[in-house]
Amino acid sequence: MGFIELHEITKSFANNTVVKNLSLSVEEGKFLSFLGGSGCGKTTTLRMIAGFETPTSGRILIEGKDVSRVPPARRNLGMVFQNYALFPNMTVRKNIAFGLKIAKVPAQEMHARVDEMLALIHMENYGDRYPHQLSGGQQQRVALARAIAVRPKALLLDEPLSALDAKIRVQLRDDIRNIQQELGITTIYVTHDQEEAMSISDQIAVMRNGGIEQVGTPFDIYNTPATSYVASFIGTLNLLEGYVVDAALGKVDLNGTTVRTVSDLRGFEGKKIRLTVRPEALSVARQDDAGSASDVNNITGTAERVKFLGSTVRFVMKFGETYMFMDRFNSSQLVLPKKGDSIRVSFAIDACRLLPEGDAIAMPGSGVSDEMIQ
Amino acid sequence: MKNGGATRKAMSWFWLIIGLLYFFIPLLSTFLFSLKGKKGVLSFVAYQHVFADPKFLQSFLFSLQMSVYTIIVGLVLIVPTAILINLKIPKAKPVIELFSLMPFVIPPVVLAFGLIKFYANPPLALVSSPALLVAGYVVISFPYIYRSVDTGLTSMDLKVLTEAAQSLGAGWLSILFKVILPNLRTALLSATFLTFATVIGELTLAVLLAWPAFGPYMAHVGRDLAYEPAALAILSFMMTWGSISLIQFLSRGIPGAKSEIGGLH
Ligand SMILES: Nc1ncnc2c1ncn2[C@@H]1O[C@H](COP(=O)(O)OP(=O)(O)OP(=O)(O)O)[C@@H](O)[C@H]1O
Ligand SMILES: [Mg+2]
Repeated sequence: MGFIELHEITKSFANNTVVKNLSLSVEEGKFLSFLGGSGCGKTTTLRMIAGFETPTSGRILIEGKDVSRVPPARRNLGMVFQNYALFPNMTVRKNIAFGLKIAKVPAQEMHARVDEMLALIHMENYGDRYPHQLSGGQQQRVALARAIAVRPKALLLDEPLSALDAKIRVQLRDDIRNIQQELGITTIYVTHDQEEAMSISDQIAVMRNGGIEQVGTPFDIYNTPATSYVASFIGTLNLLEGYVVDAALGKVDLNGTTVRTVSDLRGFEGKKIRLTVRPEALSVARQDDAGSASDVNNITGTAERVKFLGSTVRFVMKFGETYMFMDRFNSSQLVLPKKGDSIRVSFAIDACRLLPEGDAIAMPGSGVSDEMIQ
Repeated sequence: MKNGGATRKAMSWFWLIIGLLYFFIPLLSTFLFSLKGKKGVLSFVAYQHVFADPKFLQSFLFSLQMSVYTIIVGLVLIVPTAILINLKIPKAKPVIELFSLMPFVIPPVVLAFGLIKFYANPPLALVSSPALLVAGYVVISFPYIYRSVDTGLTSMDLKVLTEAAQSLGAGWLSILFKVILPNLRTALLSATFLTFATVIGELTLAVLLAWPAFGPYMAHVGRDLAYEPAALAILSFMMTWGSISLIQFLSRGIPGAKSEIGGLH
């Protein structure tokens, strides 16, 4: 049984149902992220767990107890908000002590706990400052300390880093993860940033249209996406259109080249399908593989341009009318193609997966669209 | 280019000085006039007369008392209402805002007659009670109090702060007294002083409900005497400016506080 459990939660605002029949279980001490596009219901779900919204139907259990109708003040959950929400009239110390005072923790213990929290967020010397005298990153640290000072059962964070600049964001997310690990506190984290979710979570729940598409470890979500939405939402995906020529052998005709897939193509005989391959699954074909090894597909594209992404370099190619990406590690030995060069690339047959026609694709950061070529 | 800049600068100074003159000349002449109580010399004799009249202090103290009641009743009624509206029914805000303009639209005479008619007969015979006067003052000060408080609430991110406090276990009383009110200090101060200024000088309600208030006293002095009203005008001007300076002084050092008077920045 999970530490936090949602049972068929539905939430409607007037006639608008924004969370539909959502069920989820979070184990004690785990870090779970809600990941999804804007408006998919992440915040609403988190707010229902926190108690700021009441589910239209369904139950929320914390440690096995139904808290669906318990007010937020009595749920004992720490909450961190996007815009910090520190009390502007109180110093850092007083902000952190707020919950302890409410809980009537004896003064001595309270001061000790505040010191401990200040040390945890590396802000020992900032206790007497007011929130407006701190940077955004420091304010969010204080908000985190304030939330965990009362030793809540779980920690809820709603896009806590989205108001910060890129560098602080990366640094603070590691801090959040470290603190979470140190305290072993069950954490639910809302973000629309897949890289953020991947880097700090034990589990990711990919959300779409008020429901959960898939729950799994970052590794599973990325490598074995359960739905085409998840496959296209996470990371970058090449989409290749073709016709099934031999369903039994998994053979597909892509623009005149036959490739093989291990996906089950029964029922698609002669039909148009889309195959997906991650850019990092592509490599430059070796010269001597003209005979084509049995577990590798080869296709030939035309180089368009090269994009530097830091540790990797992305080759943008045209294959028929479709754009295709191939990622390679950056190195000074790398030979860069010129526009119009033909490139022969290969990928393992089990790296390409079937995407059924008509199945939804996440638009942001998915597939290859014209503007991504720019 | 340099010349253009200099001309522009000169022009701004010119207009600033015109503005200051427009503001200060009447004030200065009133002040000088108030000093002419004794023939041929400048003296504070008019001020002495003002202070010597026992009715001055009596009516002032009466109005002061009424303004304190008005401020208490007004704040107790309006602050929780404004908080509730901002938190729970923000859709009702335009309605309340419109409602808060009513005292400007309905003349005090109408309000006074309405109150007299409605509260003249048992079981609501309140015409002779100061409670009715205070009630009328609360209506008149409603726009100032509501707008100050509303501006204060809007500028502090009420909803998120409330939720943050709730998630830390705070109940409504703690939230009100430890989170909302301390951050509303400037707004409450400006509401207080605006109400004070309104009540101290109010004439119509006090006259029609027949109370010996400061407003009627000033009007009475103005009708019968020459130099003393000028002295009174200068005194009340100084009180107003004293109040404003006090707001500035008291709200100094409040983190993030701007001076807001009547909902204006
Ligand atoms: N109080 C409310 N009243 C009416 N509709 C609401 C309310 N809160 C949220 N919604 C609607 O519910 C939907 C989901 O909102 P929610 O804030 O949960 O999305 P989200 O996944 O957190 O998105 P984002 O990434 O943009 O924060 C949106 O369409 C939103 O307009
Ligand atoms: Mg959100």
